Amino acid sequence: MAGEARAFGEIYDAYAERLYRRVLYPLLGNAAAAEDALAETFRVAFQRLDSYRPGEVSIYYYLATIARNKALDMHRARKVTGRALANFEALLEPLALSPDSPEQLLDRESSRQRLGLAVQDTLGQINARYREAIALRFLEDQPREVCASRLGVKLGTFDVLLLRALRAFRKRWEELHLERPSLSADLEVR
Amino acid sequence: MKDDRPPLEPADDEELRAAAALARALDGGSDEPDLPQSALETAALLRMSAGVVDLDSERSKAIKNELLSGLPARSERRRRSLLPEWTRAVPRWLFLALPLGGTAALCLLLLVQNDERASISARSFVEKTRSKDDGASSSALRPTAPSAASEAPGAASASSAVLGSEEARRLAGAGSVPRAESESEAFAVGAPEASSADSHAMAAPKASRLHSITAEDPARGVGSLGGGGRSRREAMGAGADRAPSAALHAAGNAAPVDRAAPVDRAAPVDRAAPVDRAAPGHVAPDHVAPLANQPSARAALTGLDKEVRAERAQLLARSNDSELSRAHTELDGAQSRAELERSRADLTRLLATTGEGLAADDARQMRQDLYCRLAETALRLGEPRTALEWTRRGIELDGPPSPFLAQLMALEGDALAALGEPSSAANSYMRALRVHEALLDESLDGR
Repeated sequence: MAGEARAFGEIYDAYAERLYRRVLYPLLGNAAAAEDALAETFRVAFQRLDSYRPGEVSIYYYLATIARNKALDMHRARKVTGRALANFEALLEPLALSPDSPEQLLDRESSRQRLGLAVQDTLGQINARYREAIALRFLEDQPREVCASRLGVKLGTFDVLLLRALRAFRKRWEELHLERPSLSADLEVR
Repeated sequence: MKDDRPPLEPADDEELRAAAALARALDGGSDEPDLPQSALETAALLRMSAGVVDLDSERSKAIKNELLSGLPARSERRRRSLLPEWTRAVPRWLFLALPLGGTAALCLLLLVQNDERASISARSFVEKTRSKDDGASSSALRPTAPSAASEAPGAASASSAVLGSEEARRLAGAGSVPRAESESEAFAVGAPEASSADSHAMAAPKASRLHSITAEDPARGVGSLGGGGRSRREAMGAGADRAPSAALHAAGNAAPVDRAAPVDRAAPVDRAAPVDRAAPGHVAPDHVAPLANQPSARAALTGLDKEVRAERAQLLARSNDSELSRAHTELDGAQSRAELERSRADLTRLLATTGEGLAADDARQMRQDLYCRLAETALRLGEPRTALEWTRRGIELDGPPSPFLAQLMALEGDALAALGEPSSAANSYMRALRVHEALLDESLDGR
């Protein structure tokens, strides 16, 4: 039992953060949901460890497959759970942060720096006021009230401003990095 | 295109709704129809680039610890896989229950055989106390329960078996023991006979039930059940009506409930008021505490589940709330953890709107029922502290005795028992029994 716990702890330490950052958060876009999915992934993985065949796939592939399925389950249950989820995997695709197979994730050293540069590049090409709203709210992680005050607008106005800023950013991001807009963006414009 | 507008151009209603929904979602709010999905995705991308959503080490450690605490489940599973294939079809509890049951039966048999002398003494003691009964009481017993007389030997032997030879001898020797006292002892030990004969899990010998219903108040005998009360009594399930009285007697019969006293049914049950230990019907926690450790204490309330379901069905029919009905149905069918968690989320969401547009009484009961379901779900998910919180919120809504109020108290007892507080759990069960009994009185009076 002690040996099992230690081994399990080692597997968790080695893969938890990576699964969260590269698989679960991009699929769910919600930190709390991603944490829940992470816990559920390891719980299931441990229960089914007997079915894992080391010679066939890597442990990371095994875990990432379970994680992906958990995330998809959460999306399916969204109407029932009422959780606000956002799958932005497609937005990361051009930056090679979300490769075709989970196996590749292990080998490919993704870079937040690369993502950061792409974000800065896109921000530089949108309206300065939008840029400021995004920077305050997301890059500096300020509360809405602070953002509104810094921009000299009312809270409701800031909410609208931020929505427009995100739309403008998304549009520019897709123009710069994607060949075609995502399905959800299509639906929203319509 | 909206995106090309100057940043502070006035927004239309649709945009205002979307902006507000997005703001709520970004602050941890729930999914809403107006939520602009692409904006939410973009926000998630931006948050990731800033590193503000990274899994921090403390949270990661907490998840790991939680997972590690659940490891035995797999070990158990692995052990089980070592057993022969046919054993998988057998419920696991049988492996424990069968040997335990066999051992218990063997011990009982040995005790009965070895203490034959004590058994005979106890029997003579019961005969003596019975002979002291007045004629009216005996005649009231006989026509209603033909088996009462023939039950005595069995009850006596069961008493001796449970009491042990020393205690039985002491009681047998005390010929002058007042009737009420001796009977309370007999009630406390006579459970096995009643349970097996009645298929009712509560420790209630037939004689004690007859005393509580017929002998103490003949007007409330089974035959006097009014038409109006019958439906509720039937909903409570066979024997459920008698169980609370029996449980109160079994818990501490030295102070029997004064059933002749009028019950103020309009008044809400006062749970905050200090307990009057000298009052009739009060059962000292010391007497009650052992009940919390016995399945019978909770089993006395099993009829309550049925009544709660019946009451719920009526409420839902009146409210015509299809979403709430669906949520209840889903929870009824929930088996896996994921299903339970889904149901919980659903019910929590419905708490905000349940009862809107209904009469105050119905609205309160529907909310209390929701709290019951949430507590029940939390218990099934192994979260007794959460369950306790839900029950207390439901109980705080107050109101006159209702099946939901009784159920909340019973679930409060379950949660406390799971938290290792048997005395508090017993008190909660007793409060539930009292509420249930008030409902029974109502039904027996045909109100």
